This record gives sequence, C-alpha cells and structure tokens, in this order.
Amino acid sequence: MSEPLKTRVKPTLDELFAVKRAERPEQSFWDDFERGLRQKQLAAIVLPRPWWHAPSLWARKAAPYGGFAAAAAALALAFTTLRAPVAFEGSANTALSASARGVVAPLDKSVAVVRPVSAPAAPAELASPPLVAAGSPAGGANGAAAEAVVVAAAIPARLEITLSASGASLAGTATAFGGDIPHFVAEPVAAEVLPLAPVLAEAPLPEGLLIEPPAVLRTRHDRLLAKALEDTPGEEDRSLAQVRERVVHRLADGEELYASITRVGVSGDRLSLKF
Amino acid sequence: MLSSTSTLDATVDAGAERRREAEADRILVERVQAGEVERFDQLVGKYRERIWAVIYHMTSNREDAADLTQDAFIKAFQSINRFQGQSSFFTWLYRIAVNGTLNHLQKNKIRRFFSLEKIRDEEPVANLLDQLADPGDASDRRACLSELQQKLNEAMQKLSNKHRTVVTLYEIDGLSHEEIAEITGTSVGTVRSRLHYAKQLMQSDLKEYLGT
Repeated sequence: MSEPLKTRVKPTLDELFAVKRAERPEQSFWDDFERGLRQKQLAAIVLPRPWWHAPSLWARKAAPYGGFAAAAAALALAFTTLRAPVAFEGSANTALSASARGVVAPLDKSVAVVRPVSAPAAPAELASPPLVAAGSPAGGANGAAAEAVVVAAAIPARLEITLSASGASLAGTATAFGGDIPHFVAEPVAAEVLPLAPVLAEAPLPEGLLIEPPAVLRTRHDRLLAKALEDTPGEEDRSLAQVRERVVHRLADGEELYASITRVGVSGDRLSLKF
Repeated sequence: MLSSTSTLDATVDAGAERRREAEADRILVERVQAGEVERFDQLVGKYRERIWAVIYHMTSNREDAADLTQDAFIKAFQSINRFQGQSSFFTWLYRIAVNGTLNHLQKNKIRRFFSLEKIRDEEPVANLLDQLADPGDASDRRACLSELQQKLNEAMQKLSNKHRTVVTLYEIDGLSHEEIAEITGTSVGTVRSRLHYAKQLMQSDLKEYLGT
C-alpha cells in the first residue's frame, strides 16, 4: 500500500462518495457514445440474432418437433436395423458375410451362414483367409455343374459354420478355410445337399435325417424347413424333429401365415417364430 | 419540528417528481411501442448518464461502461414491446443494465483495468478540496483528487459484485432502498444489510484516509 494521502483534513466516506458522484465524462465522450449506439442499433436490425442468444425461445419452439423427430429417427433406425436383410448379390461369385442380422437368400441360391462361436483353440491346419461359401443354384435336380465360391471376408476370429443350405455335416469343411481362422465347427443341418465344392461334397451326410433335403430351396416350405431344422436334434430326440417338421408343414401351407413370419429361431428343443 | 416537516416535504416532492417522470416515460414508451421509434432517443438522452455512471462505478472502467450502457439500451429497445408497464421504465432499464453488468463482471473476473474519470468542479467537491489541500496550489489539488479517486476505486473493487451494486445505486446514484430492491430482485432488508456491510468494509479499508 502506498503512503497515506497527506491532507490538511481527512475526509469522510460520504465526502468520498460525493467525489465519486462528480466523476463524469466530457461531451466528446457522449458524441462517441451516440455514434457507437447508432451503429449497434443498425447492427441489431441488420444482423439476425444467433439462435444461442435466445435459447429459451428456441427451446420452447423446437422442443416438441425435436423430440418427435428424435423419437421417429430412433424408431426408424431400430426398425431398419432389426428388419433390413443383408443384400444378396445374385452372382455366383458372391460372398455372404453372416452377421447378427437375418440373411435372405434368393430362391435359387443356397447359402452357408457363418456366425461367431466361442471355440477355444484353432487347429493348426486352418491357415486360410476367412471365408464364406455360397453355392450356386445348380444342384442334382437340374443337373447343372456344381461350383463353390470361396471369398475372403472380414469375419470374427472364432466362427461356427452352419451350412443351412447344404444339409451336410461337413467337419472337413474347415480345411477349406485356411489362413487365420482359428477354429470352425461345422454343424449338420437338414436342408439340401449341394455340391458346393469338392471338399464339401466329400463330407458324409449326417445320420438321422428325417427328410430328403430338397435340391434347391425354391419354396417357402423348403426354406422354412431348412431354418427350423438348422439345429437338428440328435438321434435320441427324433420326435422333436418330427414335431418341427409338422409345424413347418402347417406354416408353409398358408400363404398369409407364412408371410407374417418375421423370424425363425431354433435353439435346443425350442422352435421360436416371430410374427 | 420545523426540520422534520421540511424533510417530509422534500420526500413528498421527490415522490411526486418520480411519479411525473414515470408517467412521462410511460407515454414515451407507448409511442415507441406504437412505432415512433425515434422517441426512444429521448429515453436514451434522459437516462444515458445515470446508467453509464452506475455501470462505470461498478466496473471502474469507462470503455466497458460505455459498451455496457449501449448494450443495455439496445437490449431495452429490442425488448420494449415486452415491457408491460408493471414497473416504471427506469426501474426496468436499470435492471437490464445492472444484470448485464453483473454478467460482464462474472465473465471477466481477472480483468481489472481501472480508469479514472475527470471530476467536475461542483460545489461539494470544491469545498472538500478546499479542506483537503491548499486552494492556491493547483497541482496539490489534482494529486489529492487523483489519489482519493484511486483509493476509493480500490476499496469499491474489493467489495463483492452484489455489495458494490447496492453501494453504487444508493450512495452514488441516490436511489431508495425500495427501488434498489426492485432493481436487484431482493428484499429491502437485504438491501439495507448489504449496504451496511459494504460501508463497514470500506471504512475498514480506507481507515488511513478517512476522518471520523
């Protein structure tokens, strides 16, 4: 603090306030003030106020529409995510990467579905890039040449392969998938036998198939049956498979009933249908 | 007895004057609201010095005070259609100015550039200066004034924003407790309490310079 003021008489606080009251600018200051005020008035007229200057007004007006739009967007996104099928290219050189979403194949295609599995170890002989196989519509019925397509795709490191369209228990399939894939479990499903590839065709048919698999999944009945029997029970529970088959026959009979099915799920002794 | 009667008369006169002023403001505001926007200039000319003085004594910076005063008038002009006359125009305008200044001070806590305004040689100040310094020594008078201004500004800036607002409105602008309570949105008791506390702090801070 500086040295105290050397005055003849010390003032009171009220007298100091009187000094403060007397502090006033000169006229030139007010001229500049008027000019500045005029400019700001013009600017306020010309320049629109940013939306963040009136948040309450903006919020009041936008909140109902914003909320509705957000809800609609969320609903649409959820609907699209849950319902949209993976696009399937009609070409024989098409790889289908299975995911959590459903896979819709055209009538003239048989498809191998690939999904994650928690298998612990990778056999040493598996040393090829990740693959998904898609078979051509050519089957034994129409006599076309068989072909198999093996295409690299980005898939998880641990996979379980369910050949939903082939109907063959193809433990040897894994050998076709060399590279970095650590482990595959090939699951038999009763569907159709397709000569997908030589290595696949050599695999033995699973025992205990209840029906003759159709050559091509042409009808809705075939596709539904293939899906329903994807997780075919073992021999010890053949009656369960028979029940599933009967259910599928009933469902496939009615066009409207079948069309209303959005998802088919099989797990153990359960067959779940979502309409 | 005579003294108290004259004080009462002065209070009644001041009240009547305030009502006349408020009525004149109301008419001007209604005209502005009706589309005669040039009438707003009369309101600006009428209140600009008082508004500027309040803001200047709250900020101790003349440039900030000028900007904030202009902003207060712009805001009042933009919002004048929402003014419904439930309070007087000057109270409403003061509220805009004080709130804007408090927001500015809140955002610029660190910034402290004091500027000293020229003091007019009015009668009370001249009398005070005659007591403080030799009337014949002009340089001594200027030094006295400058140091008094500086010390008072420093003491004011040591107060909190709320206390400085009350001191400014009451001691410098001369508003009543009720008007200050309406402007600051507090009770009259709060205004009195803040005023008492602020003056105590200033007395303590300036004790080396103040007489009894």
